[in-house]
Amino acid sequence: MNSSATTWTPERKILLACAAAGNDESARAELCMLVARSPDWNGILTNAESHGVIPLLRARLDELCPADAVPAAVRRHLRRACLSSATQNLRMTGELLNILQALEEAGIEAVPFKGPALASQLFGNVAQRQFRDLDILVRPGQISAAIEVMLSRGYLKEFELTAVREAEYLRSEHALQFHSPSGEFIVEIHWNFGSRYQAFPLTAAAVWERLRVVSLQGRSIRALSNEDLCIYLCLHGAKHGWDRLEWICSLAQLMRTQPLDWPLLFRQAVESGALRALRLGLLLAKQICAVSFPATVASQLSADPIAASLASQVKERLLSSAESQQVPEIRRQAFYIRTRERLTDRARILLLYWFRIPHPHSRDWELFRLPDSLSFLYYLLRPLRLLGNHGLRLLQRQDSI
Amino acid sequence: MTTAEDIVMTTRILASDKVVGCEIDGEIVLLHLDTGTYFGLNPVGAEIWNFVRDERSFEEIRDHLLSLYNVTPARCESEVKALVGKLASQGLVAIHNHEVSQ
Repeated sequence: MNSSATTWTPERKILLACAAAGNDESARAELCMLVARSPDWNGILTNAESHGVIPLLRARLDELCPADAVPAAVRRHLRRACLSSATQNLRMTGELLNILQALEEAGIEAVPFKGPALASQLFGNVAQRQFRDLDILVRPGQISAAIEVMLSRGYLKEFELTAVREAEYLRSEHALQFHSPSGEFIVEIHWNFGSRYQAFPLTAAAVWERLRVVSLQGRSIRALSNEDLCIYLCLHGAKHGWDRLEWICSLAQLMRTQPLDWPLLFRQAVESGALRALRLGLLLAKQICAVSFPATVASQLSADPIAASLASQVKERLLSSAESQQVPEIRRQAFYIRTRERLTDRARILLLYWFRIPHPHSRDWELFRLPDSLSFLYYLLRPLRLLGNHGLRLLQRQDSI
Repeated sequence: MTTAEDIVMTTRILASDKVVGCEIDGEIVLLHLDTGTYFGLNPVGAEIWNFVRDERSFEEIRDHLLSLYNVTPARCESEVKALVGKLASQGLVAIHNHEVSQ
């Protein structure tokens, strides 16, 4: 039984039918049926935008629905949105290539991932995926040189830190964000895939040994191996609660279009502690995008009831109109912890959630600006703030019962 | 600089690395990174563009299009020359008549 079935909206069902329609005949029929019932097109467009699936929606409607089933104004809106997204993606692709060239000239090895590189790899066309920023991985030993390259290109760091705090930041975090002077481009220079606090199982040190070379707009670039990319997408989705449909569609597209060494993929996931996150990602690709797997993989997926339960939660949230896109931090963190199978990883994430030096964009940083010499006090102030917040929330809940 | 009038069967044509492109509705949108100018190519232009991402001779392009479209060789040659000339004048492709390309 599904207790929240009444909150499922036709608008979200249309998006999910679009996601599955590539592989599922019944989803195609459902899409046409839902579209014929005069849905709330404003709601559909808003949801498609927030889930990053405008190109997918347009492609499916054009391909599967009769011309008169979709209002002309909606078709015009979708065409304009896709053109706008495509031209923006081209500018971002050009900027990425320019940055890669500058890094190369400075002797810095760089691996673009997500953004245009992922769109090109999965769809063969940077217009078919929406993205907002550029992500580039460099070796930890070259991060200072990479920062210099970005600054020399006129980019600005998202925040300035004292030398002591910057050293701490580089040790504990995984990426530094820059923006171009015009604000048009946001670039994240990564030296790892996740912060120390997330106990991220995919480490940059491991993927450097498994890189391959692919083509982006006729130029050779480094790329993650398909197996590393698959695990990364699963972990990235898990970290963010899989609250964007586009992430699931990209993972599904990876499985449809790229050869995967399944035994190697599962071995790497087991060894790194990312098995449940992988299973969850694959379950979502199967349940949302109708991806089919070899029998051996399918049996792996059914072996983990927690992954199945998490997949149900994600699907429920994607379909429900009651859920806000803004999932509270603590719920997101609880979800992420559940995606990890090792007790030691879970304990570490939980511990470091409470006791840590704050990220410069965090609430703790806004509330308590301590000098470097008193940084250790953050280990006390953060738990107190969290206890205050969560305790208050619990009390409010009791009041409302 | 080589122009459309100089194009012969052995002329080599290559998409510029200063240009990025994507496909939308069967057409190609190109962006010249130095000038910031966008260009649109219809499906035939898109076919040529995709073909010259790897360096090709004019003859190879002509033969490729003749295999795809029902058109006379003379008309095909004339239209391809005109289009390649326009692409070259905008810096979107490089054309040269060297025997051996680097």
